[in-house]
Amino acid sequence: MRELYSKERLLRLRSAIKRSVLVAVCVFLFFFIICTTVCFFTDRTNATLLKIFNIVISGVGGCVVIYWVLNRILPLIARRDYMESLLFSAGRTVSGTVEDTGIVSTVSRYIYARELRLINDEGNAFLLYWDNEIPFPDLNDKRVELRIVHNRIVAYEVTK
Amino acid sequence: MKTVIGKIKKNIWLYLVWILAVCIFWSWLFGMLTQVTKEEKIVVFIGSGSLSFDRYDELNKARPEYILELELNVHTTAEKNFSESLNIFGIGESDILILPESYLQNESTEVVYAEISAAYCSLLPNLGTLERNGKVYGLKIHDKETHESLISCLDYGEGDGEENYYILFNRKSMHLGELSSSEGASERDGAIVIARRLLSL
Repeated sequence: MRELYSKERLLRLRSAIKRSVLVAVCVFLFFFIICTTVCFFTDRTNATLLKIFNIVISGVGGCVVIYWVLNRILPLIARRDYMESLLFSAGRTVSGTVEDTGIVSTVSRYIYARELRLINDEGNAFLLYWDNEIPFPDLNDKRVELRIVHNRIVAYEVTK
Repeated sequence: MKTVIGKIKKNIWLYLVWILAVCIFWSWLFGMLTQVTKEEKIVVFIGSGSLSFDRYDELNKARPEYILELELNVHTTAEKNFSESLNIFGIGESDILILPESYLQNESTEVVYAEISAAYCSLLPNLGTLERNGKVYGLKIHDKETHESLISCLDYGEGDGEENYYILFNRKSMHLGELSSSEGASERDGAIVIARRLLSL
């Protein structure tokens, strides 16, 4: 069976989170130091100008950090949690024929998945999810054996 | 670029809240950094028959260079909470006070107001003095018997409501010059300068 997730991948993800947090902290500190330094040079003659400068600098700096957190750090954390829940949970194996619905939906915050229908030998249909981050190998109308955790596919094998 | 704008639009409220918070924070902090200190400000508390005092501009022109702000705190003695105002804004924060005699009867006068030396009594125009235990604490600016007054723009009351008025200096003031008991304060005599101008309005 071909595994979709591995512990090495999880480790890489964890270090990517650490790097991203470090970048956010550095950016924040950079803007914070600029604004704090400006405060030390403030007197009544230049107060208005320096106040506007600080508002602009901290406004821009804060927005950059917020953007980074929302669009980089939080998705990485969500993916780590998602991977952990799949890697460390006991799954079960199912087999049948796959039908690709072509629909991509959200399975949890920041995680998108392709919806697949698996029809087993008894003719029952199951709704399963294929992680959208992982290239889909075109299993449409093929007979497969899948290992799933909570309807999420974690490994697959095309059978004859 | 479109993706970035799209992602920003999704959480636009968060960015707006941040920008608003930043504006409020820096405005507050710079306000604190540049606010006028007690050493740079003189507060005059007036308790008279009316709330009007239209000679502020003339008084403001007389302020010494080291004084950045002259604040007038005008109250009417007819106010329900005048005693509280006098305690909080007058005795608590002011440098110069103008008050009717009825509010100077208690024993705290010697504790609250600065003693005015004989030299200053002759330097500042007056219609008499307010004395406690042989020491002068206030200069009379309006006499209810003769109806004479040194500050023409104040309402001293009429008939039975008319009172003697005095000008006094808060003992805690940092602008008393040589009247001050604290060391190193003799250079800051803003309150005396302002009082002299007040007495000729």
